Amino acid sequence: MKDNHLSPSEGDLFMTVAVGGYTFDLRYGYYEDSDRSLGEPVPIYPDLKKHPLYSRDGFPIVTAVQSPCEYYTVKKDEAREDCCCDCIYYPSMKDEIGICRCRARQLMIPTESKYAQTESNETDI
Amino acid sequence: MNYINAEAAAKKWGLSLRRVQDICKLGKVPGAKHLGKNWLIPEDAEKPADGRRKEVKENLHHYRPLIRKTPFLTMTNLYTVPGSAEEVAKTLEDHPEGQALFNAQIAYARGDIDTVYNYAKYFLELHSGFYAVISGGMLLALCAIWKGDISMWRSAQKHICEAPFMHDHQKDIISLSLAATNSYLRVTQGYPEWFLEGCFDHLPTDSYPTARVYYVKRLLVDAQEVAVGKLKLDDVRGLGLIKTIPFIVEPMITQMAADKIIVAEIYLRLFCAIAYQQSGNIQKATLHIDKAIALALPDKLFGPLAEYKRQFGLLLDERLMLVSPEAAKKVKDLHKQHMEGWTKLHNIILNNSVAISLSAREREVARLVAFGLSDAQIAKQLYISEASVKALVRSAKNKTGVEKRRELAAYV
Repeated sequence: MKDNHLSPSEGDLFMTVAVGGYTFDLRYGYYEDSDRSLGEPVPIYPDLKKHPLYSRDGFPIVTAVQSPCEYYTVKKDEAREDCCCDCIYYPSMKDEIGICRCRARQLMIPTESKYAQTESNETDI
Repeated sequence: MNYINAEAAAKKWGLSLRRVQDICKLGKVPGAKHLGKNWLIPEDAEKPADGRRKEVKENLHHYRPLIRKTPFLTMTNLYTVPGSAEEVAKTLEDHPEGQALFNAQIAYARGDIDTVYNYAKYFLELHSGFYAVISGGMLLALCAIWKGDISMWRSAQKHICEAPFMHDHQKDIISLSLAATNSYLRVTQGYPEWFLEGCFDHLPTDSYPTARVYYVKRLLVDAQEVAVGKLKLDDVRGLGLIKTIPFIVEPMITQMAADKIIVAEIYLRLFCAIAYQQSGNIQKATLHIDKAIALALPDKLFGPLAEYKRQFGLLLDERLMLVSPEAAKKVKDLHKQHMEGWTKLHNIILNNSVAISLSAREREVARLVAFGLSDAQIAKQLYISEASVKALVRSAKNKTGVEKRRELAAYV
């Protein structure tokens, strides 16, 4: 574990995640001004509900902490965590950002405007 | 103005001391002052017209408290003859809650944890008053140990903490009950001072057998910690403290045997046997083990034997095999079940190193998650955004390695 994970400062890098052709630098910060009362910055995840991104085959990219959609399904007999990370369509609970494999959410025709970057053209979000 | 104390007022009015304290608390004695734990009552105060607590009578239709003579975890003077468990249970038919508590304790002593769990739920769902909640909470805690279930454990502690006490001495019982449940995991902190001094005045007298069992258990655990060097006491080294335990326990065993309080006697004999064995006195250890087996066998109360089997090495097995190979096998099976659950729970609760790596905010949020709050509720309580709560919960899960929110309970 890096030292800055014990007492990170705003702007410090939390983790870099590459998924679906995108690269995300997750940095420490504050979601809102009122959160500064926390006294410690938290990892800032991209808001992929507001600014959705899709994989090459049209599936949405989601974050582990994202509030789940109407197709959210947990594994049988498991308690709900109320975030995408424990949905059966999410790749693995350990992934910070992943590709949601729910067919209902797949774009019928993945357009270039939704999948705008090639793998050699990294985008920091 | 001259004042008298509560004891003098009790004598003057012909009431018990406790009654006088209660009516002072209710404000029925004009001019009474509360000073620390004492009440000062004006010398010329008159005895209130009705010294009884009307609240108890008015609320009777809301709950049915357990009768005072009902056994409170370690059975008192109802179960006095080995082999009579079913007969005793039948005599309690007119008192369903008393019968339920007796049956729950017999089930625990037999290692029938599923039945114990059902009774725990019964008491906790009945909302039947202080002793029912305490009994239900402690039964639930015991189930949690056998099953190694941290959520159940936390729930049990929460129930005990929130038991609806009406008197100060009931707060003492809450403290004692929490400490007693922790003692099953070899954690001996949290006992009230008066209990550590061996004084049980704060408890109802029919709880004394239970209190003695927990008192000796704590002594034994601390003595073993001293013996292995984990606990430092002035002028006491090695087996010094263990060797003193029989001197304390033997008179208690005599008392239990005279009063025929069977289950308490079984536990005390087992503790005494452990102390003798670890001090090198195998002969005396064997005497106590044989007596405990003789008391347990008729009603198949193998639970206590299973709980402490590990401490005896092969000695308990050998003595059981002489009497009943079936019993030896049953104790072995129960012991395996108990150890698996106990080890799992013990490791989770005492895993401090991970908890230390959580930041203050992560721990704060994890604690609220353990209480069952949603992210939205936590955000509202802490005056922060829900997105921040989600990020903190995620971070806490990553650091602790858990995947489910409820598992965070172990680290706060």
